[in-house]
Amino acid sequence: MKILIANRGEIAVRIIRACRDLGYTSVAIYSDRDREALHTRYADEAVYVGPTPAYQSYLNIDSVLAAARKVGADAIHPGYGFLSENNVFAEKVEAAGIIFIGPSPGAIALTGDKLAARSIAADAGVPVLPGSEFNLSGREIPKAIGEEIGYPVLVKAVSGGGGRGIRLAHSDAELAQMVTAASQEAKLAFGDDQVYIEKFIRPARHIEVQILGDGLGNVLVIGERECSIQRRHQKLIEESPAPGLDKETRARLYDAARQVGLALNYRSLGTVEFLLDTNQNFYFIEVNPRIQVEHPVTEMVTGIDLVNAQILLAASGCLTLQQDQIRMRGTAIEARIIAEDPDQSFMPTSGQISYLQIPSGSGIRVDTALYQGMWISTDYDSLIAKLIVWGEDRATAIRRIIGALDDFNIAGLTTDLGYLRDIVRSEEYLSGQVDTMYLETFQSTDPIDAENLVREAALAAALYIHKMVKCSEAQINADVNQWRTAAWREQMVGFF
Amino acid sequence: MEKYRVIIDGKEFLVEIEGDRVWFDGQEVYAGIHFLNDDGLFMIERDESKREFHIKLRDEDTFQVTTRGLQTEAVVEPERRRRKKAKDSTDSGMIKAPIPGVVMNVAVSEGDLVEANQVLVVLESMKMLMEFKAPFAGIVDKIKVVKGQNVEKGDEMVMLLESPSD
Repeated sequence: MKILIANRGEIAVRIIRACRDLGYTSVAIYSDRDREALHTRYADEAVYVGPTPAYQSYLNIDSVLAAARKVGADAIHPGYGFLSENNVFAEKVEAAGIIFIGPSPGAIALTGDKLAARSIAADAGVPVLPGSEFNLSGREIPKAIGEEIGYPVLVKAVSGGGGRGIRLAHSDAELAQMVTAASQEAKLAFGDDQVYIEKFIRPARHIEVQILGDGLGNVLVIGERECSIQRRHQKLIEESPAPGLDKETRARLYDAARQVGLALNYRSLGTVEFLLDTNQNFYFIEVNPRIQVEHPVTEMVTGIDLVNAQILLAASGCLTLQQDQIRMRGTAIEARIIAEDPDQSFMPTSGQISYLQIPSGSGIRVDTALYQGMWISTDYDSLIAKLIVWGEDRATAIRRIIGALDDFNIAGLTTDLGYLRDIVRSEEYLSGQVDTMYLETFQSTDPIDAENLVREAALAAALYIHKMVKCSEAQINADVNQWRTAAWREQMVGFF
Repeated sequence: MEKYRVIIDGKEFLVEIEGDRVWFDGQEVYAGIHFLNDDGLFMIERDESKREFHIKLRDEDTFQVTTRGLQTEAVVEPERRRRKKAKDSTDSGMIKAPIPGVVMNVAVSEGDLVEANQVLVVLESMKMLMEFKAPFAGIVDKIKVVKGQNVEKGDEMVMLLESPSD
């Protein structure tokens, strides 16, 4: 069995590892920028698919299909992002006689249409938020619809995703404006200007349920994930199980997720997302028809390798697991290490990794495609690593992630590591009492030992410079970084 | 005794070093440095604490310091150079070769008006290129090197005069 991985970065490496586990041959695809990337080197084979811009390479359906034909791939794993939720791609893959490791093209199309998914969920008896059942863009907005639903309301793109095409409206006047704004943004982002509205509830938690279906009427529920720590609809820290969720609510959530899966006759891995209010009422948001970024937390608490299971299901057509075999133990937490500068309004950063220290130890997992010397550009997603920890209980897991984040050091470009360290140390996080608006008001505070650390850093810098100035020329290496230091040292020598 | 002023996050620290003895903000500390590799990784011993650091040069005086749980930028100014620098700026705009090398390019001509940070001369040394930039905006008064010329440490290359302020 030969599997082409139509993706890059950490998820491509993750999927290649699953192929190795299963004894399958892995094929990577790469763009110009990724000629030396880890996934390119890591796979058994690697095929060039086009220039650096994603639309010419990783999003280029013809090019990816040509690569699959060239190597004689039996299956294609799309990962997340890129072509993973593109039903046209899935159709073409299947038409080419290649297994698409994901849902049926029809299910992808249905989940991509948020209004359709909403009505499928509602028909299956799953609670949805009060909202419009039809597109509001390019037509007269029915009077009183906002009042009936109750302000504030969220205007959302029918083909939405990634937090784009979403606007909040507090009144009829604002609603008209926001419908226009959201539909323009949606048109640009997704090529579809349709929008609908939904009641906006706060405070609310974002909780999602992992499902695995065989497309033959069997749907397994593989635990839930709490993903309330988000910044502008982008998840930053996830954990499983959701802290403080009572048994009865969890059972209702699982049942709702299963009903949605059954209604879609779902095949492969999927995630059913819900909002949970303070009264333990939950509402369906959407289905993500692919492997999620945050899937490792589920793997850590259940011991199930989701990607292996997904590939095996695609290869054999039947589930190898039963619901009563699925148990959760302990707590797992994931933190996303992103090439963004929290002090510069989270602008993407770039640079060359000059030093990399990756944490390890019991209950610690790092999914990444980083290596020392790698150039991080802003051509692709800014997610550069995921740190996942597991602990016997939540308190242990938190202590473990605090230690592991301190052990995670990347020099050469700015990342959100310091920001993540501050979040996992905050009282609200420790108490498990955070909602989706938490990061909107979150203020980083200096860790207790920051002053000491800064003093140590000051001492270290001075000792380092002193040593560099004093040490003999023979010790100076001629490589680039070192040369700059050497030149600096030379300049200094004249002054002593 | 060598004195270093280190500025991190707007806070200033004074480190004094003489032989094996180190003073931090006037107080003697027991500290030593061990290099772990040639790429900026080293260990600081301070009393019973032994901590790993990584330092990367950002520009002339600024270093990115990475250690367990902290990443920050430190500006280090040796005392003597500070005084020298202050003298320099009022003194002259003579650009000298800090190391032996070959002049790869002279990017300006005598009489040119230049901006601060504009490249004046490019020197090749140890197979690397080093750009010499104008320390201030001014007029190129004299050029004392030509392309391809070998220079020794301390050789004068370009003389820059400050533009009359308007």
